[in-house]
Amino acid sequence: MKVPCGRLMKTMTGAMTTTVLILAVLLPVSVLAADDEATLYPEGRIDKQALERILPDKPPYSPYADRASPTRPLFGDTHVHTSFSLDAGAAGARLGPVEALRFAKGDEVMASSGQRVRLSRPLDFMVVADHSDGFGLFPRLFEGDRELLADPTVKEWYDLMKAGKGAEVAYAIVNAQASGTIPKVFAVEGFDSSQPGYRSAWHEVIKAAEDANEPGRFTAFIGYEWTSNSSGDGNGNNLHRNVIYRDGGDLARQVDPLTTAQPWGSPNPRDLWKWMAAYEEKTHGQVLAIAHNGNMSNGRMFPIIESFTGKKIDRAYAEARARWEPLIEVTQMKGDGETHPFLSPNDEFADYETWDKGNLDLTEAKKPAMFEFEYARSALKNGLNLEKELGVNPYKFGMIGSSDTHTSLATADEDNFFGKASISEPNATRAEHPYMENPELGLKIMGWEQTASGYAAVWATENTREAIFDAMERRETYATTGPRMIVRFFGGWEFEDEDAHTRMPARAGYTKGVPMGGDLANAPEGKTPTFLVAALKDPIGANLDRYQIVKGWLDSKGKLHETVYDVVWSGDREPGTDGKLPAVGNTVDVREATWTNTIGAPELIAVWKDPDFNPEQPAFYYGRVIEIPTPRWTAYDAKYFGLQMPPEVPMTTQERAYTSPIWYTP
Amino acid sequence: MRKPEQSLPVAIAALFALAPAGIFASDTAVGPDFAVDRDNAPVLEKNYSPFVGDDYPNRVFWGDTHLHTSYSYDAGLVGNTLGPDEAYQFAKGKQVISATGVPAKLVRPLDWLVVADHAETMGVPVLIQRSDPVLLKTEIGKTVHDLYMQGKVYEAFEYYGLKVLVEGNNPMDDPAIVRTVWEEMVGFAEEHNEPGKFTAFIGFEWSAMPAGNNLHRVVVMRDDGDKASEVLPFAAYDSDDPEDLWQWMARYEEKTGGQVLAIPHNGNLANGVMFATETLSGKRIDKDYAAARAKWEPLYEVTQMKGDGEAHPLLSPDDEFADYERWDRGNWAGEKKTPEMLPHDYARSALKIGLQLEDKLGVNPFKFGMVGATDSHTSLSTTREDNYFGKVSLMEPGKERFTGQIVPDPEGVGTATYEFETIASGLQGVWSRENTRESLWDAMNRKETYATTGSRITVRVFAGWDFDEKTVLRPDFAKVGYRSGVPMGGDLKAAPSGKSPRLMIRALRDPDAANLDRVQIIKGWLDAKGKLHERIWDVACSDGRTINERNRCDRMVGNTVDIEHATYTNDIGEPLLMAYWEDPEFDPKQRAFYYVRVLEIPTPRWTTYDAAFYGLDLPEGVPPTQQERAYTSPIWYTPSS
Repeated sequence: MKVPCGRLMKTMTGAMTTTVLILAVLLPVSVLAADDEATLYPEGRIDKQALERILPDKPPYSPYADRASPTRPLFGDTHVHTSFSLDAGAAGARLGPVEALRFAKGDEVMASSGQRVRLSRPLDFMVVADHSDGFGLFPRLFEGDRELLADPTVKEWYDLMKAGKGAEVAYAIVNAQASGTIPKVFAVEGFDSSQPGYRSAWHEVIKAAEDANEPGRFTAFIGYEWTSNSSGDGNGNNLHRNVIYRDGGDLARQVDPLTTAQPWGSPNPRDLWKWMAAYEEKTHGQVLAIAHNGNMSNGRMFPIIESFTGKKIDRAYAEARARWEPLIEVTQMKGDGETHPFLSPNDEFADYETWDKGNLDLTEAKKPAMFEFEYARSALKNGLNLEKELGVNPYKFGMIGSSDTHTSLATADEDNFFGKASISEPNATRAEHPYMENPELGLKIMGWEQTASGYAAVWATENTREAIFDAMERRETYATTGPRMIVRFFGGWEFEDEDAHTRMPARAGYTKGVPMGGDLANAPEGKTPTFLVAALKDPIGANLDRYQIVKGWLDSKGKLHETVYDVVWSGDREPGTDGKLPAVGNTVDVREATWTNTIGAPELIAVWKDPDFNPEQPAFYYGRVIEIPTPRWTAYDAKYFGLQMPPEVPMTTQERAYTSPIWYTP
Repeated sequence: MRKPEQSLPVAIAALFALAPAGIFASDTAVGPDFAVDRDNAPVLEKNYSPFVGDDYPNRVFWGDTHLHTSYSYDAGLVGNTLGPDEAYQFAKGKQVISATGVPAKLVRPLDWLVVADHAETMGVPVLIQRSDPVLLKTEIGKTVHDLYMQGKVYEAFEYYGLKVLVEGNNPMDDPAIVRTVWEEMVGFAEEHNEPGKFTAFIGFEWSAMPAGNNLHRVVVMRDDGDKASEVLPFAAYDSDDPEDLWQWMARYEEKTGGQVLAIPHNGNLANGVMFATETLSGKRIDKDYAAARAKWEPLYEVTQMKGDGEAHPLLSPDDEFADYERWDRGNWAGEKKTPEMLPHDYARSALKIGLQLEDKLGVNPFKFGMVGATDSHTSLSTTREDNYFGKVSLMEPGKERFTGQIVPDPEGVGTATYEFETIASGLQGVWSRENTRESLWDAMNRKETYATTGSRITVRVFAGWDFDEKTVLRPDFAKVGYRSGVPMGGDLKAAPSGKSPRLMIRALRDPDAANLDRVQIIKGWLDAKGKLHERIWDVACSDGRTINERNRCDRMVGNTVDIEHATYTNDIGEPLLMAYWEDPEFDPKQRAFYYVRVLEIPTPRWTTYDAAFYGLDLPEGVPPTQQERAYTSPIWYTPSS
């Protein structure tokens, strides 16, 4: 038996290994000859027969024994703001981290607007991610902290707020921050995270997470949002990242969060990555960062030319980004970021909750050339090219959705949407009230454009910080725009139709392939990638329309391509001559804000083989699952408040899920 | 509560009479202490968030009320080395090594568990292994101990059976020793109970078997260890009459302020005694008996490893699915079954007899909901066909388990039942909001539970007078169901004139298992002449099948099982079935019950998995494939006097 011997040697020092070798040399020949199935090691003898008695010769009877793969997705929100965020507090949020976590666990709470609210079902995990800039300043502002009010601008904000104009204050603060005109006292207290006031607010948030964290039942991560709005070449461009800790408070408290204003912090993501590395080095803990709202970055989120230097990104950038940012938040209340109709003109589902008027504060209008560097699909494509040039793919990210709510209430359901900020909690005017506008440039985003989205689904082995974080690191995650559909996506070389018919496709998935977020490499001669896809509808939600695979690839001339394949769909629809599947239909009664599951399928499952595979060309594949049409939150509002919405307001939606990609690398 | 001196309408009328006419004109209402005008009255607004205030059950929690560990003499003395700690760990999804050395793991964790070891000499195997001095003071204890320690396990068990079971001696009649064991059992449950995550109930089995007839009851406590420790479990030595068990339960509740319920099982091995119309002491069931039974026994364990007890083909000749995993040869003493025993052995007929008794007595003693449980003696609650660890440790996976007997045939009359006839069943789904002892127990007590033969099929049924066929399609159908109807286990009364009961049903397959074949409604009723009837309606069929004039899916669903490899595919059947049904034969004057049966498509029986795994021939006498099923608790209709 060679195996135990090898294992033994590995654990030995060089000197001991020598001893073993000498021992072996000194062994009488007869011993070896007598039984060449036996091996001596320093403490005794191992023979094959004895081992065969104790080591199994076939897999265990129980098909679930030794199974370590995840069996159910956990749903959560990695991006919830509370009154500890300056802009949230100014816009009326009165609920802090403790209430946010209680709500996530399924408790009923009183929203800041005085309405009772509850989730349809508890979430499994959550990250309270308040802005590190101005952390906890709002409660101090609200209490009329003298130090803060000594500044005339702060005093003006305070008075406005007391006069019930919290919303104006909120936007004034966002604008001041974006334009770099934040009052000095705010700057020091808000950006110097080593100030005692700052630190105690941060420790309060850590404590809320520690108290709410219940391993096995509910995971409360420690986290914050690093809120960079300046891209080196301009202001108001959203480069935000949420930082999530795998660790408990004992480690997290050892390092103060990073803010974005110099000299205390930095708006450059490279400095965030340095901060993350320093944190890990000091504490031996682990953190990751999740970027969001490329659609409000005006072309700076997924750069080829780095906005801070004006130069092409280098290998160091690519390595750091790949190392620290395994995921992106692809869908949230400020629009969906999978792709844009300009980029994907042949994708009839591309124009979904599109926010493309300008940057975060609408100080600069959008230009079509920016899209390529804002949306997930094009970034994944550019990543293939960059990998070829740099040897590392900076944009090898998985997908999650989250809310980015500023109400403490992680509501992503259409029938229970509590809005982006407390001023847009349910009320009769929220749809027609502008969310953001810049009259000078003629730009305006309306309240009804807010998206009731999204959640993060994580295939973790258990509900703990460690297991969920590790699943995020390996990108075994998917985004949903709110519904809790269960989505599997496996890639491999050997999947067959039968794998889709077994009662446990995941077993075939994990043993014959890799799950979402994984890699396929070295195509076996003559083989083509096959994908095992499965989706089960949200048990209390709508049926499914179709499961699609989105493929992007780099051809031999360095050109990037994408195609969307319909893989499996409900009913007996046949694709038309244009190759497009007819629409699933629509059961929505807009007036009553209801629908029926008389169309669509509760479950979709299939094996798909890439018909256009070329083993020389790098590619990625991800799954997109689309629900049948259901009422959009605006329809629920119209029904509840008895409103007539303007004609441009969409009243139905097709919710969806996006899986993390699987990459093929030649 | 003190009765108000005058009713509210009278008071309001008085108010109005006293009010000057002008007040009405100005839209003001006067109360005793102040007036409220219409414009300033507070408006009760509907909440925007549709889930505010929801308190109806919204999840199924899966568990097993009936699991034995090494603390049961018939487990621990014959090879089961796994105690309650391992049983809980396994139920929580951890991998364990079975008593025979086989790695075992559940497909998914359970949500809750009742370790229900026999009260009779509970813990004796561990006391023997510890050479407990108090036990060794008794002759029986000493003899069994010595035999066991010499390695004569069979002799020890045989001697024990003779002295304790046959001759009725109790080697543990010292309360101190019983207390030691009981406190250990309570301690295990307390340690593993994690409210919100996993519920470990405190419980035990009262294993009465007068004349070899199985009258066993599993006793389940709602309470924590502080209350449970105030008593010692009630054993068959104390009495083998269920009425005495109920008195013990009443005393427990009185003493501790706690709550407890009992679940009988295996009427099929009770030879007409489980649902007899006479008491054990031979009197006709009277109102007091009926009331006590209805109070203490809200549930019946309708399916488990020793056979399925829903219906029998002789009793239900029109039910082509009645002959499912039938164990009907006799009782434990080798007394052969006779046809007149059957109505008192099976759940469906007992539910019918209950209507008759209620008509006579005013109380229905057999008004029970359905649960499935394992009764496994391996500490491993396994119910899947592909992961079946057997009834006892001696028949854990191995090449030999197609040969052993599990029910003896001492008289040679053909009562022998073989290990391969045991069934990989069952499970209990409990509709609740929270995973706590209190919340789950309350759901059991109100019968909002159902049985499955092992799969985790989600089933919901609501009955009411005002649903229409679109209601079941609504996204919030459960909310409507609770608001204007009753769930499984509930009661319909006072039929509105001209209306029939309407049922809404949704069934979702086990995410890890087979698609669904059909949904059926089973109705039982008592006619004006006192005669009992039953009828089955298929109400949802998979694969586009229609329902024919015999109220059945117009063809069988098919069978995809590959017997040789023990596999099947889900390309027949459907993951979700929904149905709306209105009773076409309703007579508001007749008592009735309705329950739902959901069938899966055919899948391999556990013996087929074994044959494939070990390369054996299939045993004769059991089918290679079977259709797993779920039985909901009934909804009863009772005419207003």
